[in-house]
Amino acid sequence: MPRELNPTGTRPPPGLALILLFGALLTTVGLVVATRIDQTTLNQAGEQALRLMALDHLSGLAEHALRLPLALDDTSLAEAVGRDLMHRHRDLVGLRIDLPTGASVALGRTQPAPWHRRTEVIATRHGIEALLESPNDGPTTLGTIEIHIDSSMTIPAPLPWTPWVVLLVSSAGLGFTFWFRHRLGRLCDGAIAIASGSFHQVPKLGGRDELAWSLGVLRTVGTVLAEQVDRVHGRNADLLRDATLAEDRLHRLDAFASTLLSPLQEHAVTDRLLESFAEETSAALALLFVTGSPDEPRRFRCVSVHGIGMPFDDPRIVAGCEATGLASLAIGSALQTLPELEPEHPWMSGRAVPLRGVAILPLRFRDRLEGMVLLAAREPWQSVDLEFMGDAAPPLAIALANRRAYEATVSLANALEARNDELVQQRDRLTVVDRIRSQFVANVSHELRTPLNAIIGYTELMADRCFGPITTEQERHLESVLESSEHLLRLVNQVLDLSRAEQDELEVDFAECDLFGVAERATRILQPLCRERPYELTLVGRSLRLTTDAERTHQILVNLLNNAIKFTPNGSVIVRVHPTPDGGAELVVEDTGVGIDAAHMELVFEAFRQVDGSSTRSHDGVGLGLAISRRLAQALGGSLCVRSEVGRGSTFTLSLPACPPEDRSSTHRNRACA
Amino acid sequence: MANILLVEDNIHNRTVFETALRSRGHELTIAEDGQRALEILESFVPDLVLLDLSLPKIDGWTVARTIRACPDPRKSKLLIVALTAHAMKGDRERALAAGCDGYVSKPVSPRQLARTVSEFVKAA
Repeated sequence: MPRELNPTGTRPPPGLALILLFGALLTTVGLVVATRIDQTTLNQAGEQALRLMALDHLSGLAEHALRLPLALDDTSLAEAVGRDLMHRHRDLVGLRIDLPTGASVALGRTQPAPWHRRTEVIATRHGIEALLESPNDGPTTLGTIEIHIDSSMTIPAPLPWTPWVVLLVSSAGLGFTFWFRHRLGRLCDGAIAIASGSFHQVPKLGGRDELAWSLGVLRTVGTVLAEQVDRVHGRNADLLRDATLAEDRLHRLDAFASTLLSPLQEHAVTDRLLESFAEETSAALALLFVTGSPDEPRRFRCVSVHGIGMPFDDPRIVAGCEATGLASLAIGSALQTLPELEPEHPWMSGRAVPLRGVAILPLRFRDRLEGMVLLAAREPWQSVDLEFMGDAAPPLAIALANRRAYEATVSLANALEARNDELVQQRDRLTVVDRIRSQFVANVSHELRTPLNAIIGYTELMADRCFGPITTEQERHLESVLESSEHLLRLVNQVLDLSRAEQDELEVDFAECDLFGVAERATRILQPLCRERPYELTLVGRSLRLTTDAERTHQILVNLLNNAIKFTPNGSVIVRVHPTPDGGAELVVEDTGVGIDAAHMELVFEAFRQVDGSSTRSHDGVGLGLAISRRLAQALGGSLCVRSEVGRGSTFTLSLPACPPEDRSSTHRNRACA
Repeated sequence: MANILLVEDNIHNRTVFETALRSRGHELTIAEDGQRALEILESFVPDLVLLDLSLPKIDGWTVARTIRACPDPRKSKLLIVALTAHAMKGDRERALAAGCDGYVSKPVSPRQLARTVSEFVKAA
């Protein structure tokens, strides 16, 4: 830039400096000349004064010396004295003596010279009296003398050319001043023009001096500034245009975004979306595709169309997709253009003019291709429209993703609702079934007990001979009837217990009790069953207090002992009561009976199951005892397990916890015995 | 020995109870259903009512409640013992709530019934 601003090189030309130098030189010369003239004048004046003094002196000498000759009026004496004077004083070049008688003596040059004096010789009293002896006459003029000295002693005239020099110098100075002032004014005009922004109105200045150079620089500055201002104006205009465009685009996006916020319904919302999209881009026709689900044969499914004149599910839409080759198109993440749509294309529906601007806008959200928009316009797309599409794609993709999520949610909600209805119906059915079942059990209980009451009552009354005397044998049979009745009653009670257990309705009543006492009672009651066995029940242990249901524990023990005695023809049946480390207790019934096969170990706890299920089985019972016992054990918060070996016997262990369970529903599952 | 009103619809049970109690010297009046029992009670006040609960016409619970609601204090204070085959959970409570003083579940042996009756009569 400095080089541009400097039109004549890096340094200004020396014009003004030369003028100033010349002026200074002229002034110096003038001063020197003036000084020298003054000196000569002074010298001459001094010399002149000295000659006048010499003239005076010579006048005095001549007057004094010539007094006598004059007084004597002796011409020869006067001449001799005059000659002597001229001889002694070299600068005395002429002498004229006028004697009183009229005679005159002239010595040397007599012609008048510039420097001469005419003097009258006057006889003074004291000088002449003696000579003339006429002292009373007063002074008397004796004669006159004229003295001439060297005429070369002239007074120089004042310098005749000095005013001209002064005038010249002054005029030159004045001229220079006006000239300089004019040029400086032009320079200022240039500066003002630049300051006021009139960059092209900086005046020109001829010549090659510094001011001309400066003005030249100013002109260049003006040009450069003008260019820069033009550039800034241009840029401002660009910026303004960009800002206007950006604002316009924002408006369009805003309008578009407001359609995106509409409720997510199936086709209504996508139709509106596509419509506003097409309007914003001035597309002649537009299609919105969503990515097909994996089980769909086509990759893209058209959900909305605009400007085609047929519904989105029209077969021609699919035909158009095939004609365009959408299925085989590799969709990237950027906008891509397609070949123009010819009038015979299925989507054109009667348009005569081909659509030359065809673009596919992929809609991606989080790396998933949600769908795409196909837009076709009569002319190829402009960059402004492409930019708008690029901006509008992400929100549209999000809207599609939302729509997909919404649809999934709706279908999930529908499925859940259907399932819920199903479950409610099932629950209602189960509730009804449950009530019917409870009612049935209650009825069965009632209907079984009523005849049992009659059987037991009649039998006992007969045994008590209320209906007349009976034989001993009859009495024995009546006892059997009673026994069987009681057995039947036990079975009825067991069935009811089982029924309750399956509904988790077993009644348990926890209180502190002595487990050993419970075991003792059960042993005593069942001791009679061993009448036909070669052993007696053995009880091992000692007093052990525990909070549990004594009655239910007794019931379990009775069941276990019943079984043990039933399946142990000989050997022994031992009941052990002992505490466990965790503060609970174990009741163990050990027998040396037939034992249980490992494969059937868990079957024994199932209701109505006996290991020997054949019709020729050797043991009676319906197989309810162990099932109920295990459920009772669970209701007590404990467990019932078995360990057995075929031919060696079985060991049933009832484990009871230190504290009763807080919640009946969280009863312990059976633990496998070691 | 006591005057007992036995309300029982089943003929066999009626016979058993009747025989068991009469053989022990009790006076028995018999009703086959609840309506008949209330009719008898119009003119007769027994020492004890043995009341089956599942009865034709008027059931035992209603009979018990009706007796308890009777303005005659002799009737409303009657001893009523439910004698029923309803032996499920809650049945005893339901019987007592209807106004019965005692509850005996069937099957009951004649000896046991006689014992229970004697206890109630003695207590009264």
